[in-house]
Amino acid sequence: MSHPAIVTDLNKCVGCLACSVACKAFNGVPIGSFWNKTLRIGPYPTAEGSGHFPDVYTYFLTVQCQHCADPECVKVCPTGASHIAADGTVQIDKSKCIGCQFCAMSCPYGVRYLNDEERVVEKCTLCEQKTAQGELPQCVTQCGGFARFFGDLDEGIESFRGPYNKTLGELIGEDGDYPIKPFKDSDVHHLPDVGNHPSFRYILRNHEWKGEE
Amino acid sequence: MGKLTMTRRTFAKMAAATAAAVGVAAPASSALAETKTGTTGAGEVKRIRSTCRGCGKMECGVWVYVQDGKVIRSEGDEAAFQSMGNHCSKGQASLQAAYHPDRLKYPMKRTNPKDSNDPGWQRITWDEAMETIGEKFSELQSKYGNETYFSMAGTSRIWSMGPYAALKQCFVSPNAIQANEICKGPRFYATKLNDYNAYSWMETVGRPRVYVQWGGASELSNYDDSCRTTVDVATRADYHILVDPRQTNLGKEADIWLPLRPGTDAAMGLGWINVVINKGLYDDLYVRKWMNAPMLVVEDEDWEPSVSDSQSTHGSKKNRLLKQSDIKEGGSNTAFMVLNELNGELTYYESNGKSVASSVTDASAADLNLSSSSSSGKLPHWEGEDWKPATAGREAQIHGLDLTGQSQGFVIDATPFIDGLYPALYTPEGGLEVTLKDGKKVHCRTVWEHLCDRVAEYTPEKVAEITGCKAEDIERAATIYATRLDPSTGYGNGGIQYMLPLEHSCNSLQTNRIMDILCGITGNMDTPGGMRGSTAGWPFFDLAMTLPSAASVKGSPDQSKIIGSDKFPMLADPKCNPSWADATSIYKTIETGQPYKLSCGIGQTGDHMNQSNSLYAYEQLKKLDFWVSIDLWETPTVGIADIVLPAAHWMELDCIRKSQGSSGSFGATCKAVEPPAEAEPDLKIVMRIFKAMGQPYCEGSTDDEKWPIDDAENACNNIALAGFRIPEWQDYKKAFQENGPWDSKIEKPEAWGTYRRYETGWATTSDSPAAVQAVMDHPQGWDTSTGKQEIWSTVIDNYYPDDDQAIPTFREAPHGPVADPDLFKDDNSFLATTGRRIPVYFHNEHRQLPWCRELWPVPRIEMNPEDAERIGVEQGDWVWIETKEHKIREVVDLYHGIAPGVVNLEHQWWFPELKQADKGFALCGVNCLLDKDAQDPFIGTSNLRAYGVKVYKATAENSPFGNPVPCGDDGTEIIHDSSDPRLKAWAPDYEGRTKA
Repeated sequence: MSHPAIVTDLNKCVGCLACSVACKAFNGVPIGSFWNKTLRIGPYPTAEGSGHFPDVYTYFLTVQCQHCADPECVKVCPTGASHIAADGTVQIDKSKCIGCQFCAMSCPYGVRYLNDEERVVEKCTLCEQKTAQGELPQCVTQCGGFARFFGDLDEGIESFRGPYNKTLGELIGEDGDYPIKPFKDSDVHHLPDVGNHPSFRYILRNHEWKGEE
Repeated sequence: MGKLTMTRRTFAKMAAATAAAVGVAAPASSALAETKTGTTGAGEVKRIRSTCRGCGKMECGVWVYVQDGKVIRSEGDEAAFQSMGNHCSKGQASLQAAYHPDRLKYPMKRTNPKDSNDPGWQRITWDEAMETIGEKFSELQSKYGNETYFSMAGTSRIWSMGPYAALKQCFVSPNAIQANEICKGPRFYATKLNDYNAYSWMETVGRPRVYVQWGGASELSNYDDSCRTTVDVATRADYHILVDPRQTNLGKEADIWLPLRPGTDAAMGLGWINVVINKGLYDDLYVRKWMNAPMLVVEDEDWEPSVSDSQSTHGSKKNRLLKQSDIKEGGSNTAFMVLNELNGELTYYESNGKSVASSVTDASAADLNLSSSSSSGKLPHWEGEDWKPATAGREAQIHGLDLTGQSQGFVIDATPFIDGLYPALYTPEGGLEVTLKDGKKVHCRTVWEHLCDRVAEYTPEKVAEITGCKAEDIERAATIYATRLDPSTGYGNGGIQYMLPLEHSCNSLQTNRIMDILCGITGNMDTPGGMRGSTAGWPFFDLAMTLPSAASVKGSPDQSKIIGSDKFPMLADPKCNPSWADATSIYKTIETGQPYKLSCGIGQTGDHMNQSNSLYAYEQLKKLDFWVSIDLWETPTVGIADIVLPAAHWMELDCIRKSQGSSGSFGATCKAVEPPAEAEPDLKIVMRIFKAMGQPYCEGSTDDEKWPIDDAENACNNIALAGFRIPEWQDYKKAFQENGPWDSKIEKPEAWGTYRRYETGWATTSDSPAAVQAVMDHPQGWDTSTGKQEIWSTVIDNYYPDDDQAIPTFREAPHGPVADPDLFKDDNSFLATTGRRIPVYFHNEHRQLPWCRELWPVPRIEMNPEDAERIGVEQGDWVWIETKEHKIREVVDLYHGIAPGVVNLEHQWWFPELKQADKGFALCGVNCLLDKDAQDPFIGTSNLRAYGVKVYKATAENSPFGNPVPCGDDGTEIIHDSSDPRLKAWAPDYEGRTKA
């Protein structure tokens, strides 16, 4: 099975919140609820600095459903509403959802909420209506930092695609002709894994990843 | 959610079908206007190519998706090379503005007094509104004179720029409060003094190899090269240098960060110049040939400065530079003397030339003051030079243009001096002795020597002391910036993106002159990624969109009467003025009636909150006899209007657009849907006002010809397109729909596609109308008295001969810790900065858009946690921020990215949710704290940053209504949480748009 995911280049993410509004505009998420959020991590002291201002670093962490390979939400769902779809994404069949919110409680990332009007749980679908047609999620195409790429984790993140329909791999290089700077395997992170195996990846060069692995 | 769809599920299904047909990478050729891009049961989806107006001006190329006559979303357009497919949060939230239930939809008049909390708006017809406007303004102007009228302009979206130009002509009054007095105007004016108006623009899309971000955050807002382009530029650059008191969103990635004390930018700039000169990193040829560095300053104090009658924008000015007329009877007073290093003799540069547009009869040329004459039969030249435009050069070598496909442009090679000439930068010890024509001997030293003297005291160590940065970091940053990474290109590492904080600490003009000089001496003027000025394209001139094509029948505004010129005389200069009346002076004039009565005016998206003291401003505006506001909303400033006129949103109008910066892009905003009810595009409203005042807008004899109101947008756009190969708006719009924006490097190869235009004669003429360009002479150099980039300002020398200000210097901010230490004595004292870019807002805009407000509900004050602990406040606490003028509240955000002792306040908050005329601007409005009399000494810019405040916790005991949360006059809390039901009530209203 494939594992559709988004990789975010955190050195290029500037916390502009374009992804958050893009999601709302495309998916009709209720006001006051969010499928994706941007967290400010830090500013925190840099590794070899004085320990205080101005030797600090900040990164912005975009958090949404991580479309885990082994999702807790699916395990705890009493009706089978939360499920792994054929394309490998985690989805909610709203016709089966009874709004019990066990899934919301079990999610390690707090990215699910109850839609008050419909009385069902909602979360990021990875814009399945777009990806099913071979397109990219809206938060990827509208990313203000050109920092987000979508693809199948099993194919490697270099194969992920972003704006201009370019793959991440095509854009990597040291000099000014390349908008993505090279990174090491150890620069690639994911949100804390408690056995759910999140699919999303985050690239952070030169600075300390503050989430656990 | 919106009323567009019954449930999110149906929305998702519809969206899926739409997306399927469109495709994210659809070829541009298929993107015809209103192209059928998909059908669903819910109705056909069309997409319209347009240009966003979620922030500043020009901005990002976008697609607006329309279904069943309703905008359903907007997305970035990758064909727009300047913005790379970017569409920020503000832009994407725009549809919530277009369909906002609070939009103004009809002209209205006030029925209650101006101190009432409820204006008592009553709907009126356009005819009644215009009749009243014509009568009232005519009555007041005949009673008190033309100048009794003033306009108020907001930020510069192109179609609402009437107050900057058109309304001055309409009402024959020079008076306007303009937002550019505190934003960008000082940068423009500094470059107008130094070289040419608006050369403060860096060609960001030219991807400088060293990216210097000085006091800005264009990764979040502003201009068409912001957001995605800015991040791209910074990522590709070899070095990224941040000069900013706080760690910015993109600046987190900087290679070098100089976290300077707010208000000390000028000292930092002088320090960089010090390093550049001492390390010999300046561009020697450029400095000698294109700056006035080698020109001679007469040192003797008893020497009376002499006049130079320049045909440049500077006009006739007295200055201390030695001219041929000083040493020779009948000599030219625009031939500036230099010492020739090769033979030790005096020689000159003659800056006037033969008539620059002698054969032009075009009225627009006359408007632009191009037809001045000169006795000289030659173009400007060095003695012995027969100047011809340079032609040799090579293609630019800008990296990373493959994604956007923009063109490289042609870089003219730097040309050497003529044989036998090499102007000296240094004179002999004690200065050069020169005999004047009356036999008197004087001593002269070069402008360069004066600059060296000025920067000598700004060593890295001294600057470290002033700014709080480390001396070695200052030296390293300046060295990296000025040392060419690839000397083989023949040009520097790029310009400096210096932004508005440099304008806000009462040293506005001089700080920006310092930055311009720094870019000059390092050889980064009009080079790839350097300082390039405003895009030459169409419209040929930014203000053209609201400028009429017909001449005034009532004469021209009398600049000598402009308000504020008693204190700031340069405001009244006939040609070389910054164009605004001073805001504080206007408010004082309303209060005192001196020098004459100000009684009436029009605000076109103008507001009183962006400069001077907001409380004082509001009180004065209430006293006016008659005020008209043109806006989308009931803003606080609309709250004191007598008549309000409803304006159209950018999704509802047609307007040609051009990058105001150096991106070289021009395109259009294209109407996607009709305005609601009786709202109208600004262009049409301005034309109506011209008609009401009896001023023709277009040439013609009948009323329909003079004021083609039903065809206003078309008529205005056709005026703006004059000279373009596609001169008809409807054709232009169609071509834009098919191909996206034009690249000025291709469309205007001489005026824009060529770098180092001071070598070709196009640096100062590129934004003239095409008709004028075709017949005019193009002089070498810059548009100044000396024809050179002026380190020594001849204009400042003229107005302030005794103040030692011709070479720019640093001044401490008047209410900063050095100049006003009493403000910094106790534990709760802080140095305040403000004005940073918020991702979801543009200045005071978008507070009522749910997608914006839910992400950023309240104004925040950034504070170092060390300070917060000391004064006993925590994350999320409301605190009072106090000066002797006023106190406001904001919410604490603990931020290690700001220095202890400094706080960063958000600016210009008001609360559309409050049911009161002033919309609660005094609750959190940062400019209520200002000392209105603290201003830049030359041009009046307000002291918006770098002043002392007291900060302490807001509690039930010390807050009105016993509530630390700010409340309206009736005790209603402002929205401070994303779950507030009032946000949902602001969802798009797709129904209430038809005329009732």
